[in-house]
Amino acid sequence: MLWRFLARWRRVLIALLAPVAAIASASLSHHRQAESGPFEAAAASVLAPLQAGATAAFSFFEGFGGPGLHRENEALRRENEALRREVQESRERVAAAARLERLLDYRAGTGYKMIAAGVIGHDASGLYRTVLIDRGAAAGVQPQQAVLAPDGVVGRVVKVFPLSALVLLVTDRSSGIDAIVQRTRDQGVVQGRGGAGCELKYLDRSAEVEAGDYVVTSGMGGRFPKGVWIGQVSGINRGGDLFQSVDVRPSADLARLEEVWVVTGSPDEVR
Amino acid sequence: MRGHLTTAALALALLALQTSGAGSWPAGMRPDLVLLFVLATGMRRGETAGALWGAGLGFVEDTFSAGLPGANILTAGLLGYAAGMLRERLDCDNPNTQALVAAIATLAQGAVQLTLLEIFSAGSGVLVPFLGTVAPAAAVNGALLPVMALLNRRLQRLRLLRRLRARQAGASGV
Repeated sequence: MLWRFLARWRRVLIALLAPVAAIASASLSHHRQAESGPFEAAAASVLAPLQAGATAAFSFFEGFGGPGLHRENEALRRENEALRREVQESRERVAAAARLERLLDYRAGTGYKMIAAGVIGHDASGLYRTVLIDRGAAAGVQPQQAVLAPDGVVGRVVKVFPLSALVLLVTDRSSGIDAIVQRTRDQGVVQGRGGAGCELKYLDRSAEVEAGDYVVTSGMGGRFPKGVWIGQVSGINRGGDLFQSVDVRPSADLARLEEVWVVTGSPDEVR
Repeated sequence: MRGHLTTAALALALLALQTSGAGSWPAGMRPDLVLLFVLATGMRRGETAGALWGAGLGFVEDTFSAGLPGANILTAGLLGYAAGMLRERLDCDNPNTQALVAAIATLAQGAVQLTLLEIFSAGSGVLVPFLGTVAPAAAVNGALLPVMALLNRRLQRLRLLRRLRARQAGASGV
């Protein structure tokens, strides 16, 4: 009886259930805000090791290959491949060591309590600018914490899972960071454009900002440490009556992020 | 049971590949492997399977997305359902049909998600991300779905052949 009913009305039921499921999910997420629920946490925990493995495989294979390899004979090809792999691995180790050295220097310089994290994933749709990092609630990561790289601001944590966390990049359209122009001390809000760049909005029209000026975090709100580079002014649009906006090129290379710092405590807390 | 587990493992692998490898693919050339999987499932197994896989994978995508919660459940679920309905009306084994379905589904999903984002989040335009991100993805997905379907058919044929050989070997042994 029940099966017959379900079979008969399945189209109507599915058409009704999909929006209901979506609304229920949206409603639950809204109530929990940035903390993940049990189902989300389970899904994230299952996928995190797979994502880490896939990311490692991608970065490992990125340097391999090239034209002409198939034309050489088998013995030479194998030898060549082994040598290439060795060189690639050595280069990768040197590059990783250099990156980690910079990260450690950076942390020592700021005095903030930070934990290092590796980037293991990116937004699947391409519509948002986010990365997934391999540290989550188990490592002390919490929603709204700042994420930095030695070159500047990366973004902030928006979702936390047990073993991973989702970071909203400074270039995402829903990202907004209180900022000041380093030279003139004029204040504004850096908002992402969804592509590779950002915009410094609500800047006083009388502010004499020039291309090449550095934009840094203001430290207001307590989310980001004060004076961290966000980017450099790349263009000026003196449009509105009250405010002007300027184009900002992020100083951190957000397309090639591999390791980042999550700010987990201020210098006062460290002491 | 074994078939369902294989499908689930494939779906998980595609999800991991989609979220991990996406950064390595050049901008504008990013296929939506999860959507392709949902469409293929719908076209092969019907609307119920398409809708269920779409909603399930949409939930996982929502988990890793900074977008509007529930948007992927809604769009992927309904697209899987629609793909399942097409099975009865179109020749879904035709590569041209597959390409067209993948391209239209990508455009529809992108349009719905961007519109929802525009309505419920900070409005910052639909046209630019639609033309810059969604339209190229539609072209890539349109090209990729027939290839994935062909590979799947080849794999199935190989599996069938292996089973037949095993059965023949068993019969001759008896």
